[in-house]
Amino acid sequence: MALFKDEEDVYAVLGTFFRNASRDETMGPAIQKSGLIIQFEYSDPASILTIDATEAADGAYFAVIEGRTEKKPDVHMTMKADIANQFWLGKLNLLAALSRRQMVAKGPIPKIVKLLPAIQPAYKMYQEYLQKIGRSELLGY
Amino acid sequence: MLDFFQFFSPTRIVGGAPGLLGQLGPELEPFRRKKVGIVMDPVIEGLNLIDVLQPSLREAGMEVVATFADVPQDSDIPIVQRAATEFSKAGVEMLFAIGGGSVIDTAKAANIVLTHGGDLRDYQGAQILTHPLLPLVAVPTTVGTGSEVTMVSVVVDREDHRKLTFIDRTLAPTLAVLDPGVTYSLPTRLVATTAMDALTHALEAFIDLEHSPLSDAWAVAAANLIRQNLLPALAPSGFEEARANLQVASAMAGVAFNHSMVGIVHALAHSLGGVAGVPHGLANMLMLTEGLTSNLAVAADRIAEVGLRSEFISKQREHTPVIATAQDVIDELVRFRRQVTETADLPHSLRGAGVTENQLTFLVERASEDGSLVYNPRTVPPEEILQMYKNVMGE
Repeated sequence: MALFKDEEDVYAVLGTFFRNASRDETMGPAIQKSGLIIQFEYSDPASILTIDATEAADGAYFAVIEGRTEKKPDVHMTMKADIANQFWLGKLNLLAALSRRQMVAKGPIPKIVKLLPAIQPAYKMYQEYLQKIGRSELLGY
Repeated sequence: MLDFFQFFSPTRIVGGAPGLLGQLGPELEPFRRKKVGIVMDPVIEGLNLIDVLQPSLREAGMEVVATFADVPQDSDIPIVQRAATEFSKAGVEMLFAIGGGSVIDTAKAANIVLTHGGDLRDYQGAQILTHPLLPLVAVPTTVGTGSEVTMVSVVVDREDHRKLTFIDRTLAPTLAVLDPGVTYSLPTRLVATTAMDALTHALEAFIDLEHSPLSDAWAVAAANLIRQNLLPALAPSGFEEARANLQVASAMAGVAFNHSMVGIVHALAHSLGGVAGVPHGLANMLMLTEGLTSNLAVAADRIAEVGLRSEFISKQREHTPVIATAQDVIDELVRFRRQVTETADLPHSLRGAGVTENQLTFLVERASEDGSLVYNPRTVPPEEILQMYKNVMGE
């Protein structure tokens, strides 16, 4: 059974987490500097989150868009929403996930390589965030 | 405890005596009567290897309907698009790539455009291809690419001075033909630089994050063969067996890095190729020990192990602590490389390879965003990359 009950649940958990990250001093500047539009297309449940580092407003370093958008992403990543949860928990071997097709990355991978060191703090942040919002059941996966 | 690993090597590899290229009838039987498109470079075209191949094609009732021989040292997007257009017009049903890494990677990339259509840039990424590709027969004429057995294609975007990477299981050639005869006319300098490229593939495949017991075995066997055969292969005569062994070693290193990929040395080399036009094998050769040294703090055990298992140093030179053994391996590789560069009359420094100081900033920028870094045992900051280049600049 999928961890997230529907599209809105994905946006409530991951979407809010991304918006929190967009204001984070440790990660935000590096993502903003990349100037990338990165789209995450999830299945189970079907949902789309897009990070747009070409636009920033209201004190955020990048914009987070829920659902379909006209914006053309530089990098498009598809995966199950459960896999995304594992990734942000820091429990997923990214390289193995790519080679096993648990994640499919389309676009200039080198451009997102630069971001990997910058998002390291996100793993701990996501764990703390899940506990804070009362979704500790997502920690066990 | 082992992490998850997998082993997947779909390419059928055939090798044997010189002249195998003309005796491939049985291997080509599954492709009977197919219309063939051949990818080469101008040098290979001049060697008339198509004539050598013709008896094999005739036996399988195959016809060459298009030949594309314009592939440069580092292939680029317009070359790939042009090859695909010509092959499409000719109704090509399968591809042959006869040449070095650039030729084989061009054939792989052209195969993507032929079967998926559109702009090659849209297929950058990992495991994203959705349609079957045309069968591809790869005939490596150097002793270093490994591309004849890998699922990777690297093509230059000259507008952006970047190397674009395409990774997909279906990109691995259908058949790899290791005919030692095609290496006999290879200039000594190319034997040296391409074999050092293969050695870099083997060592980085062993040290990288995604290594496994299976990729380790291929990496060690390749490194050992290169250690034993590279200097004899550079001799003015009597080099035939050594070059045949290097050809096998190159394919073995290819199988190894097809699984565990490459690391910081390749990131540095890709940038040298994209920004300064340094040939890939030479760039790897020049940066190899810098890359290993940068990984010493986190991967001394792996550097020591690969050096011992491939016998770059003997068991008697195993020290405690392990970092001393690893340093000994690196020192031995420096000595080995010096012998190779002196024998083949190759540059010892980046300056000697045509790199200038004003390219350093751009080199660092491109190296620090290279995809190979994902697989390196540690994150290497830009300031350290700059220092590595400076260390090899020379007088």
